[in-house]
Amino acid sequence: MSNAIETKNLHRRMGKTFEIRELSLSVPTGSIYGFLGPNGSGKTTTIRLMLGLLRHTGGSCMVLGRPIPGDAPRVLARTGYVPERPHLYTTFTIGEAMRYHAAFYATWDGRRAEELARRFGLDQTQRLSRLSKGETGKLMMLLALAQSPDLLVLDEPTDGLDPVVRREVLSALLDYVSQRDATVFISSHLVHELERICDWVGVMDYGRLVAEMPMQTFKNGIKRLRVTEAPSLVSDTPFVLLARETGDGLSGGEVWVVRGWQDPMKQYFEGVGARLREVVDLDLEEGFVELLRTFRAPGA
Amino acid sequence: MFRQILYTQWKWSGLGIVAAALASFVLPILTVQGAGTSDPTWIDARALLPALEYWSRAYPALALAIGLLGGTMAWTNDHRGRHVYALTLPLPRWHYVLLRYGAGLALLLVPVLLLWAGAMLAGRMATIPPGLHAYPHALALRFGLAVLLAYSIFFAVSSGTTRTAGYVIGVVAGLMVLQVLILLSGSETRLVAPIFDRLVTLPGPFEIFGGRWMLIDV
Amino acid sequence: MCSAHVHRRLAGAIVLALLCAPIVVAPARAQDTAEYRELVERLAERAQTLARTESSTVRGAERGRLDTLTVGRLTLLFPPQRRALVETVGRTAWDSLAAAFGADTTALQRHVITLGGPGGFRIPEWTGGQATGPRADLEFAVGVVLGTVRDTEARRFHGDPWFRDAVRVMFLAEPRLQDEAVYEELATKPWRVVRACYDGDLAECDSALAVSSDAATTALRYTPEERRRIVGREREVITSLRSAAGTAQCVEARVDSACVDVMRRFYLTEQPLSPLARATLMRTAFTLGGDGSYARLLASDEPEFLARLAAVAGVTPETLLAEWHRQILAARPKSMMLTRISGWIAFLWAAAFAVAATRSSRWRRD
Repeated sequence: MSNAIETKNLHRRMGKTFEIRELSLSVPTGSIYGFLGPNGSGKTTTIRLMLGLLRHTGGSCMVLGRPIPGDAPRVLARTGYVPERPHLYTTFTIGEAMRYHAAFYATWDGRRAEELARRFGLDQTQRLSRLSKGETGKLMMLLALAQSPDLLVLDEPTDGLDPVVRREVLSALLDYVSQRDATVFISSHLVHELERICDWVGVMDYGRLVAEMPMQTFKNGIKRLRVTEAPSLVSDTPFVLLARETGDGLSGGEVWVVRGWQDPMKQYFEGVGARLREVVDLDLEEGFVELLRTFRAPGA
Repeated sequence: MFRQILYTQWKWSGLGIVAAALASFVLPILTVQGAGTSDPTWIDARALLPALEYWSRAYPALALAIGLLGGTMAWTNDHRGRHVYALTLPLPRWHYVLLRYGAGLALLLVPVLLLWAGAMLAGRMATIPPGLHAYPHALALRFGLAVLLAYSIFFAVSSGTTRTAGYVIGVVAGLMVLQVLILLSGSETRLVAPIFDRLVTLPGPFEIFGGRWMLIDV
Repeated sequence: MCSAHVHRRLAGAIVLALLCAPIVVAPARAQDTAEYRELVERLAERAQTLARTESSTVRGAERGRLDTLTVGRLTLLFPPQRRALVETVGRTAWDSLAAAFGADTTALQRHVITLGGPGGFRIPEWTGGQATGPRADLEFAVGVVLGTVRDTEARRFHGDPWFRDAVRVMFLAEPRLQDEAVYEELATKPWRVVRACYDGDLAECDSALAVSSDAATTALRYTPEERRRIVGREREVITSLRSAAGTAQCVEARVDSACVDVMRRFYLTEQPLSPLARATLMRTAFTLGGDGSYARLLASDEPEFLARLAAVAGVTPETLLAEWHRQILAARPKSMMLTRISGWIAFLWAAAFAVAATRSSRWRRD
């Protein structure tokens, strides 16, 4: 499977205290890739590096098979981008914004644009400075989708939007993806939202990629185990032990957070003389939090 | 693409361009207001020339103002959005810059053409004493070049980053501070004056703003 | 973002100030030039006074502290530390004198001028409250020397106002600028006699250049209509001196004899052409006459200025006037016309700044 986006050891320093380093991620073509991370983890910076808005100082970046920033104009011609903060000219009306945007993209689909405007309930005579947050979000999605892009890069597109608007926007996105074999790279800190639509997930923290895997593996693979009589030292586990803590007084024993869990792995505990009391499924958010916690722990 | 960029430029700076155009048209007419005397047999050219010279400083000042307006307005809305929109458009960046430049230039053609029209009208309206001539075409050409240069300078400054602005300010301030220190030390070395002279005489960039800006002259 | 905006505006304001400077510098320089001329004239007078009253004992004592430099007919006294400047002053001043009076300057009187030191002209000099720099010091000192020489030479034409006034303005500006100013006079003065001279009537040039101390004679050089206009222009001043009757007769009743009478009584004797025009004619005669022209002029007792100059030049009066006329018309100022080089330079600078805009780090992708 080819990758729509591929970075290798990407590096960029931002100011004195923050840097993106050793960032190697791969976004399979045709996938919906969720890019997770807390605020300030470097998601937006990574996106700007991928689109050539910032120049990386190390490593390489290929988008749609072309190097960035060298071939950025060609890449951007096939990429629909919704930034974190609105970037349109507020002196425009919606109609003017559509016409301006259309002038730069040979693949602009006027019919789709009109259809989306009707679907989103946007008045084309309305000035951008007077739009609500939701309307602005819808407009930016409209512009990105009407370009007929091969790649959609969405930086927290539903941030601050009410649930109704979020649903409209994501619905339009999924409709588009279902019609075309487009790749979607969507960053967010709203884990539940991504859980529903993404089939790949990458987790970012402190400028580094913590984990990257299919969404299903992420959701199913992280478990919380209640273990008693476990040896102090464990090795050669069939799963990835993310954390090991003393349990609360009521249940006793230890709490293990593991990744890559599968049922047959229960036998491991018998082998080391421990007893597995309980296997607790974690939802995506809990799994995300545990992942970050272990990443941030000293010695991780 | 160019049409859309021209449209945006017009949207952002249209009011200023209209004001500049009106001022450009009216200025030459104002400068010859004393020359339309009712007694054409008696025109004292020596009274007319100082009056024209009084207004002559207005031409380079207007050219400068129009250039400033055009050069800064070209980038105002991009600055507001931190240039994200422009930088994500699918065309080479230098191409985008030149499109903006060209659009601004196209709009600034309006006040220049109106100055030309105003100068030709003023030349016809004025009773020109023998020995003097009207120079509407030369005036318009010089004015156009001055506008072009002023616009280019302010466009370049506005397109730069904060760091660039810092360098410009730093160099200018540094020269002035150095000059003050030199003067305080008792030396007679002049730092700023020679640089200034170089800038305002050929082949310096500001030479076009000097000289005689007289619609009617010998 | 706010600070970026402020920085950008500040940079723009500074560039704006730099660009505005030429607009204010020229008037300031013009003003400086006018004040500077007045100051030079005052100082030249002072120099003459000092030279006359200085005692030989004092002179000897002061020379003991000063160095001496002799250039042609000039002896310059100065503090030793000013040698470099004064050498340049001497060379520059002498070159101007040689250009004006001819290479053979033995006809010039000898001058001793003290620059700096006790009793001499101070260098640097404060002019109008502003300190001068080395170039201004040089210009000022050269002006002092030329002014001193000029006034002395002008006094040698004591009884002859034509040459006296012409010599007094010989060094007002460099020859090219003098010719331009005279062109402007010829082109813009409304008097019939001047217009005719501009158009090539050499007999009228003779009349326009002539000077008479008799106000009535001068008045007759103008047409009746011009005389009426001149009196009408000065009407308020004349009326305040209780001569309204004559003025009214001239202006309203259009009695020409009344106009001549008013002009004679109130010395409304504006000469058709200024002393600068005479100075340029004299320079033309010296150029044609070559070496020894000035000496021949001093030695001549020909009463008519044109005949005298023609004799100095070794040509006929008509030839002299024709050459002068050609020279002045050739000196027409460039005025509004843009030179090709100036236009191209402006265009290229504009292009350079446009390219610079594309090379800003924000807009460069490499």
